[in-house]
Amino acid sequence: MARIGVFICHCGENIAATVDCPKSAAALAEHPGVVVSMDYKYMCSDPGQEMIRKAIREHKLTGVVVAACSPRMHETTFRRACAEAGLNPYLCEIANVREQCSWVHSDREKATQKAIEIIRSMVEKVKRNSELQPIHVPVTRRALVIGGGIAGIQTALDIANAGQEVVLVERDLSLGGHMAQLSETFPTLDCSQCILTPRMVEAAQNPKIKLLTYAEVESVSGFIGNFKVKVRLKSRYVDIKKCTGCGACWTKCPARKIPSEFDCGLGNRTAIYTPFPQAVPNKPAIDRNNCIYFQKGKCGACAKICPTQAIDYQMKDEFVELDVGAIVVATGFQVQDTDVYGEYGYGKYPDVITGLQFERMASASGPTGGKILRPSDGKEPQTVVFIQCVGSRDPSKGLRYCSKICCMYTAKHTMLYRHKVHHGESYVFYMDIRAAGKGYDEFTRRAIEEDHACYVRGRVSKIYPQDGKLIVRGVDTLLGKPMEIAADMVVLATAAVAQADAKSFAQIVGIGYDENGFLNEAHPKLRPVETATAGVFLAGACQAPKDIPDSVAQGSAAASKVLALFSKDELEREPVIAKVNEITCAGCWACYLACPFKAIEKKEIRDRAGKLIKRVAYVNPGLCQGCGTCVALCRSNSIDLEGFTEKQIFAEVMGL
Amino acid sequence: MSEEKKETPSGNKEQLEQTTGNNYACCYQCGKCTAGCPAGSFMDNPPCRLMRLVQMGRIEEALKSESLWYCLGCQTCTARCPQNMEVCGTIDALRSMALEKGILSPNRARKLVEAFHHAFLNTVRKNGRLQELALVNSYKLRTGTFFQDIDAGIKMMLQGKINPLSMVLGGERVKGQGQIDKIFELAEKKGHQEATAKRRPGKIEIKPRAEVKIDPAKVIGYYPGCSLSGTAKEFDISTRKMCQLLGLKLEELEDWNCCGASSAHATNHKLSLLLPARNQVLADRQGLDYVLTPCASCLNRQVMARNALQGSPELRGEIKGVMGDEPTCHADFINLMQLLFGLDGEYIKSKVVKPFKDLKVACYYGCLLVRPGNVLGFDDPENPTKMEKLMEMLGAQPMDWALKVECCGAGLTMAKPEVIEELTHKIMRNAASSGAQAIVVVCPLCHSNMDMRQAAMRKRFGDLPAMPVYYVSELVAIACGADPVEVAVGKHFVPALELVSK
Repeated sequence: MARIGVFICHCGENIAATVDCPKSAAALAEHPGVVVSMDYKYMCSDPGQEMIRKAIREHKLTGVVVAACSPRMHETTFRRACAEAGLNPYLCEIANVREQCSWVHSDREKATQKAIEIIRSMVEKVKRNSELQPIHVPVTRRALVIGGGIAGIQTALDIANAGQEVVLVERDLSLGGHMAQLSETFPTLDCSQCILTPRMVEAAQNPKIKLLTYAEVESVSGFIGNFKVKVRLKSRYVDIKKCTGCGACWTKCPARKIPSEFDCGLGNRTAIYTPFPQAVPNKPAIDRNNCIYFQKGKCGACAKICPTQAIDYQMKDEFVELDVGAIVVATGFQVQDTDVYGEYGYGKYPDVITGLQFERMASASGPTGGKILRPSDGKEPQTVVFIQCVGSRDPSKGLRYCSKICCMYTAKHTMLYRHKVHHGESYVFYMDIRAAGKGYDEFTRRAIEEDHACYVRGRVSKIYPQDGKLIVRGVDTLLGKPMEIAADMVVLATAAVAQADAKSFAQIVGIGYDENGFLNEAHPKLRPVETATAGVFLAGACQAPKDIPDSVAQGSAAASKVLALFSKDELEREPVIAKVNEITCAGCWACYLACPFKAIEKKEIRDRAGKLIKRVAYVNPGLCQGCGTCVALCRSNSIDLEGFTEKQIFAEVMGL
Repeated sequence: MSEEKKETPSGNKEQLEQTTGNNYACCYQCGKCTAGCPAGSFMDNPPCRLMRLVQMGRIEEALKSESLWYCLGCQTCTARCPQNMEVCGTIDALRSMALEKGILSPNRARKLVEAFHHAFLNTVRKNGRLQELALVNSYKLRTGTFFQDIDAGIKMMLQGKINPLSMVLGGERVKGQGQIDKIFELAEKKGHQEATAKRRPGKIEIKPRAEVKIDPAKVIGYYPGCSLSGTAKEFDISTRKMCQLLGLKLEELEDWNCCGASSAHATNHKLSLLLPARNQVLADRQGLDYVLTPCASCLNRQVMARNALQGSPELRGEIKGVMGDEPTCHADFINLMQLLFGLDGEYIKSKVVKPFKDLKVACYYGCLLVRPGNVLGFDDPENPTKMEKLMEMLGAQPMDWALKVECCGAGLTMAKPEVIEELTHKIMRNAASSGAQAIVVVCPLCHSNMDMRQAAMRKRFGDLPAMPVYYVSELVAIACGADPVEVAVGKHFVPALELVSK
């Protein structure tokens, strides 16, 4: 005979304002099988939990229903309280009367009636619950970090320095990401590469870090503590074990006019190349599409000159399988394509450039050797106009959100420009200056007050060439007047957007993303580096546009989450998994084919003599995620989900 | 909404929100509307200030703004608004409201422009069509600007572009005058309130319109509009000649009326839809698939009206009340470029018998041919290239230049000629510095501003070479074998015969 306890929480006024809790408790007391029913102001508080524990002991309860907030909030709390009182935690269920009742209704009487019904249905379910035991799975103490920008490097170093193994996968030829492209960094104006390259080298030399560059994650399976990851090692046509990075090949390569991706098209590279001189690893690859040997069948200059015979034109992509216990996604962002702004003429007028191009121009290792020279004629621009919010905060043509970093980097650009072209005039068209951060507002004020950047509040509507200048038609909204500036160069602060393949990549890893393709954290405030998938964490600008300090902080945070996970020998998992009734299972294998987690195995049942009686489905408890696909599919009704059996669900529905 | 509520500032704001579909809270004052406004520097309250005044409920200040009477209606502000606000429509709505309530700017610009719109709509009300001489006379009587453009007027009279006799004998009139009366009556009914679909910030998708496929064997409707029957006679003559040479049969839309551009939409939104809606009914009745509408202004009004009719059963009902039958909206109003690109590319090339040599042209689209991009969907709204492709087919060399879609000043040509000169001068100088010898246009207003006012501009600014201004139809016809004199190229103000007679 069931002996159920019902505990109704007021949640302060959250529930009690709309639901008559004492009345509900009285109604439930009458329900068959309920031996105790009470209400209390805060059930999750210590006295509240003690009420539950006391009732379990005094009334010898066989099941508990707590009517309160969503089970996502406090299911663990109440189940733990039950366990402390000697009741199997899986005999405790939550009836959600806050999110699904009091918060969404205003009529007190009807809401009370609804609450009573919700609780009743849970009482009916709990009567049919059975005692379950958590599942224990081992943890593979090796982390996978995807993305070798500053966030990924930081994560990998933090994990490795704590003594755990890391595999760092980068899809480009070198570590470094966007930070390697930057000239100087705000708000201190220290050289980006000077602070980044030591970290890159450290990551490459750390014995705990296995570095896979020019590699991409193809597939991910498994679950927290036990992921299996397949990585494609793209062929470089250069054997990096033999290559010494001497550079003989790229000095000889005859294909020299290929726009350099690293220099954003402002400079050229060869077909066999490293993206930049400080690349880690400093080993080249051949760009097949632009290589004369691959396109025309003859050349082979690099193979002839290579002193170690490292060039291999026959090289194929390779695949490696990795077992890892945790995954950190640090895949970064990209700069928005500005073709949508026909009125600004990017791509049509060579002297309209993006902020990232300006970074390359201002960088000592860049195509102009750090001189600010306009692309059309190589002259030093005397007037430069910077336009902020190109793509950002523009739902019509661009993106709804603020890219966060542009206000600061534009202020930095005006300073770098002024430091290099002393009499140069700079104008900044802005909508708002968003400089929240330590030393950030001071930095933008310095650009305005000391480096004489002229800030104009307004957007620009049109840029067109006239008499060798670019006429910028903007507005000064503070004066309420349109204005025109004849500029020598225009720099667009283009929006930071998600990687083009962010959505398909998120699907490979099995994590969520938002409407803009940025990857979703588990909770926007309280779980910023976790994802909804256990064991997968986020770091850096793949989650939202971020500057360097934020990316580094998030990288370290993700590392600490990984290390916390690795501090355990084994993980405890919810026992909500499928279970096969071996007597009725006919071995049709519909479930075997359908299971998205490959958790169903074929099991042989033999008699004592070892003779095969039949084959049945078997659910691997380590792999099963409790999704229920097999349950729905099973034709002989032989699979059920523990904790959510058909009997329980039917009872719950009929209880309404 | 009750009359009483309307009189409060918040009532006025609500009315503006209803007619434009805007939620004024969405304006974040970036100023892009003002930045791109061709007339922005002449305005007391440029577009972003007007938006702010409305946002703050200071409607009366907005109504008294001189800027309402400087707005050219080019829609650059709306086209580029990052928050998808109807800025141009707000100015139109403010202007209508100012007239309706009699809260008006006391300055001269307002008086001139208002006089122009009055004169314009009065001749349309009387005749169903615009008679340009009647308009000019009526305008001059109202404003006392008797000697403005007098030389140009005499020249046009001598060329037969305007017929002084029509003043005495009465010019062409619409037979369905009763229908025109009813349309004005409906549009001027007080207190009517149409709700426009709500606009919210979001991606503006520029979808290309249904592909135009022209079958040379089928009859194509022809809507010349008022200008082509008057000051833009060359456009009419050359369009007809061009079609004849291309083997296309044109059939004029029977009993067509003025589309109302640009005075109707500047002062009365309902009128700006009902006038073109009548043409739509006529075209549908006549069983036409396509109606060629050479004038960019007329085309804009017809396409906008067709779009509104398709989306609004009430509007269809209203025009049914006037005309007796509802428009099916089958007939599609198209411009010259759509007509030509609707033909097989090889077909046009096969008809070119006298390709141009060494003719460098700047293709000027003007404002209304491409806006609003998401309704007209005819070409890239910021950098259209169809006219250039056409010029290449004719053997001419289109130059790359920047101000293809800037507004020339359009309908303010009579009321504010000095503004027009500044705007048009900027455009023409940019065209000239690209190396172009001539400008190609598709709009009678662009043509008159660039051609008729060019001498004055040259005198005032002193840096403009003489540049003939051709209608695109003139060049197609000439390349297809027409004699330049025959397509009336000799009637331009800036001598244009020599360049195309080589």
